[in-house]
Amino acid sequence: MQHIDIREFLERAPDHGFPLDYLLSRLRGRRSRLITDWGILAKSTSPMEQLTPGHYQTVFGISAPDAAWRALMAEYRWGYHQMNGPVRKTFAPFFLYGELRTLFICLRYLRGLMRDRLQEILSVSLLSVAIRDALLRSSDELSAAQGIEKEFLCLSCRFKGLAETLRHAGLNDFEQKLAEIFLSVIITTGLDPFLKAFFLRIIDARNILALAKLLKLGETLEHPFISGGKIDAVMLRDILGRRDIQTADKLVMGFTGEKTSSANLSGLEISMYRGISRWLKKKSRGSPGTGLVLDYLWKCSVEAMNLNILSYGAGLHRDVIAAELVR
Amino acid sequence: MGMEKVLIALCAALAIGLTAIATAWAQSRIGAAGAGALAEKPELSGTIVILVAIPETMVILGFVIASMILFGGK
Amino acid sequence: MIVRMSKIEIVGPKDLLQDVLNVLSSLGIFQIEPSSAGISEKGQEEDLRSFSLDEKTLFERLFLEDLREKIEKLFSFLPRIPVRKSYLDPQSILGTLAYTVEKHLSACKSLEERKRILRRELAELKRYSGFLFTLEALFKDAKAAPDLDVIGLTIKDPGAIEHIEVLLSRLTGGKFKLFTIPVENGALGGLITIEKTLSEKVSRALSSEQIPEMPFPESFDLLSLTGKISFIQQRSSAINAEIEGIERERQKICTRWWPIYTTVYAWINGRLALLNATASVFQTRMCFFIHGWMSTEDVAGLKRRMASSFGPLVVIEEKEMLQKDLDRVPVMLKNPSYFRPFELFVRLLPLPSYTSLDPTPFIAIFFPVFFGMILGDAGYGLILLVMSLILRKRFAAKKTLRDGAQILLISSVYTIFFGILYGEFFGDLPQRLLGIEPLCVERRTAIIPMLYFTLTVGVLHVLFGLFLGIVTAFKKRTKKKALFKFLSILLIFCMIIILASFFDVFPAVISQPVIIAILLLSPLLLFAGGLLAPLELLKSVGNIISYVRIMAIGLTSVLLAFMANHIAGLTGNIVIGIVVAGMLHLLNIILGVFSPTIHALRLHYVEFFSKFLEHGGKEFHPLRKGDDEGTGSI
Repeated sequence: MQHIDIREFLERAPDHGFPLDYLLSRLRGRRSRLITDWGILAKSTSPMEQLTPGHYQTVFGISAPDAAWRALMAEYRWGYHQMNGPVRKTFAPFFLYGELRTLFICLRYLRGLMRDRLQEILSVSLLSVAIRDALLRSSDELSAAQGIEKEFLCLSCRFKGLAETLRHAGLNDFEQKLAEIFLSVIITTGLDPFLKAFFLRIIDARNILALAKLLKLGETLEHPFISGGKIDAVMLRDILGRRDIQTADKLVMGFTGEKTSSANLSGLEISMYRGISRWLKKKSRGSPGTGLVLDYLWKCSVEAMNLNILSYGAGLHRDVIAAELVR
Repeated sequence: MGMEKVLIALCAALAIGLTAIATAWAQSRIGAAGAGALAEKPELSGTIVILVAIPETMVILGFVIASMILFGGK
Repeated sequence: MIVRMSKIEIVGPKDLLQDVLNVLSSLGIFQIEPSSAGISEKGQEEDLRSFSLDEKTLFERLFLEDLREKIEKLFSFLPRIPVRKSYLDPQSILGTLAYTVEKHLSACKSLEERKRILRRELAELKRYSGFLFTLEALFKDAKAAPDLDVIGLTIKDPGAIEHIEVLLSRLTGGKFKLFTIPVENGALGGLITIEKTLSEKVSRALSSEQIPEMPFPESFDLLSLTGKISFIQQRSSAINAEIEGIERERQKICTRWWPIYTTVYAWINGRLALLNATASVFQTRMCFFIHGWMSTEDVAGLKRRMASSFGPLVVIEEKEMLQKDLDRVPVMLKNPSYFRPFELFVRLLPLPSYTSLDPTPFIAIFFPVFFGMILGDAGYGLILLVMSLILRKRFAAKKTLRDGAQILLISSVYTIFFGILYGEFFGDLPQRLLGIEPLCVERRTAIIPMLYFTLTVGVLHVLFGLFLGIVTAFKKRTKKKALFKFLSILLIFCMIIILASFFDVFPAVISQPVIIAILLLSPLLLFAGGLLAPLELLKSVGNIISYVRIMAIGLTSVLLAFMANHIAGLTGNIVIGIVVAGMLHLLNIILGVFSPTIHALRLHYVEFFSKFLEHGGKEFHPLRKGDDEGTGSI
């Protein structure tokens, strides 16, 4: 297995050499400022105005539609800058996984002919100069995708043909494929055991969700499940082939610890998130360094997701919103 | 007689040296964590001074033992 | 001392509310309590509603908040230079300012942006000029012909140089020169000089090999090498001049407008504080109710003032302080002028709770003593005394620094006092030069006696802390805690007696009844303090030993001073000796300010305060006209 330093894909930032204790202490301080009481916010008619001024999400103002995500990226960027070299090396795969979303947003902007927004999005991103250049220099999404493919080929040859996917199958499939290949490649790169366990869980969650979706649609066609997860891809294909909803439900139960039907897709997704949150919380106690950092980063992303739902769902019924939040 | 003196001096040096290392180690970790906490919550400054100062007692105890060894309490 | 507070209710007709609030804020002695719980009587709560602002005031608030935000933004753009004060009436120019602030903001923003661009260009030029200068030097040696061209490169991986060299020699037939200089991020900057005719070919080859060329600005293209250098110089000075111009422009805006904006900013803050206070007021159909806290001694004055302004219409009533109110009472510290500077040290920690004791007087008494005991050198003390007097005069206007100087002044007096007792004046100078023996004890040699002395100090200080603990426990009516502290005192006494008899200070016979006493007291201790009580007691013993630091830190200071004099003596030359000794003493004085301060403070914070102090008080924030806080906080 090749051991590539994932930091190459991220911005080069000066290493201040802060000790891990310093970082942990700062994260503990910031963790106490994360939103915990979603109930009140969900009930409120103007939830975004209720954020406390000290909260990092308020930095970007509450009016911008993607404020929550940009605040999250800025927070990740801050976190990355506070880390010392070895810690950065450990967490670089996580940050890069988070930055895949930035790539997708940029591609969408390129397709929508909104090139001028790219700079704004990339200003808070952690992506390396090479990837940024690939995006900024392209005139359309296809050439950008080719640029991305070229960069990711350094990581593994499995990324070959990505841009073709975009040409033939469209942006959604491209995004899905990039994320899936990334996940199956990243777990072979000699990760920190804790991070590896985390990515395995993400793979399982994605596979289960894909399975549930296919079962619901009634399709039994061969689906390329992401390989390498704890739940064997062969078994998933088997369940799909037999349309075995009971076993699928059992899988969900085993993963999330909650009784959720695999037929209720949005409920399933939320309980997947909850399952991962719970798992992280439990595991991070046993690993006070890596665990705590990962737990914090994950919590931030869940928070951003919830805030996004709150700000987009302003017109919806409050109960609908409350059900969509990951708590 | 000479050997005994050397041993006494060595013991005293160990008593203060080891406790000093222990204090230094503890303070380095508390200091790093304290700096982090201070960056997030500046109002904690007094508390952190206390926290950083707490392990010092170790080296003071070591000092007491060392001076007892060298100059004899009894 | 923690000032005694009263719970106050002010009632009056609704239309007088703004006037009453105005009076309150001009006096600055009253803090409004925003929650009605526990203050209004039972059954009355439903009739009370929060005071809502009418539309006009609401609009005013929004306008002012918006303006304040804009002014804050403007302040962040402007440089901080000393300016005059403005005496314009803020209220009359608000409308105009709301317009000008926009204008100034956009002007400042564009200036800032232009400056950023210029700075970037300047940095880029510097990068090129670094290259070109090296190159120029090389050319001078080689007397190069003008038909040479220069290509700049960025080489990410230093290992690629070899590869590039092979490529170049193939292309040019060996007629090239490659220089490399490290640039930021660990990459290398490379410069290739080749004949002009070959330049395009090489350029193309490099880009197909994906080695990024470092492009020169377009204006460079037509210039020769020396032309490039002089162009860089010209452009740099032009940029510098423009940046200076921008700075001047900013300063101009600043000198003219900063005073006006600060005055208005302060006024807005005051006005907004008043408007926000209105939101914490309660109302019935006809009347308003203000609940809050103020110091008991000011109540009579407030009553007189209200009576003279509003007659019998506004009523002030002092309410009974209930047990559950005690957590909410704000804490105000008030101490005699000698103690007051030491509040600086108390404020480093969270405030003591209202029912606890203000530790300021104790820290004011003991801190200088400990400081003196540790440093204990009359010469150093004199220098610190002079220094603190100068500092106090110089920073008379800055409270924190002035307080610090005052603390240093008191501490230096004690330093001189203990210096006389220890017979130290710049170390052992009196003994060395004049043969004067120390009055009391020579710290450098009397290690064990000093150790006993500091332990005694520790015993007294910790026991005093425990005694204060008993007092506060009684004040809070927690008798069990008081008993625990009392038993701790007794047990510590017993242990000291046993130790003393062990070291033959007391006859050994005494120890037996004392041991029996300890055995009898132990179950009581467990009863009063719970299972962790023995641990607490052990901690107290550890705390006492911790006072040995007074002697330990002192010893290092003495030894350093002694060594200074000793080394000076070794030099054998008066002038060199004095210089050497002076340097070492100076170092010792600098250490001698910091380390005794930190250790004396620590002895208070950790060893002493933990015996009686309870934190968690909320600071008293009276409603006040915003003029004194507004300008300071930007």
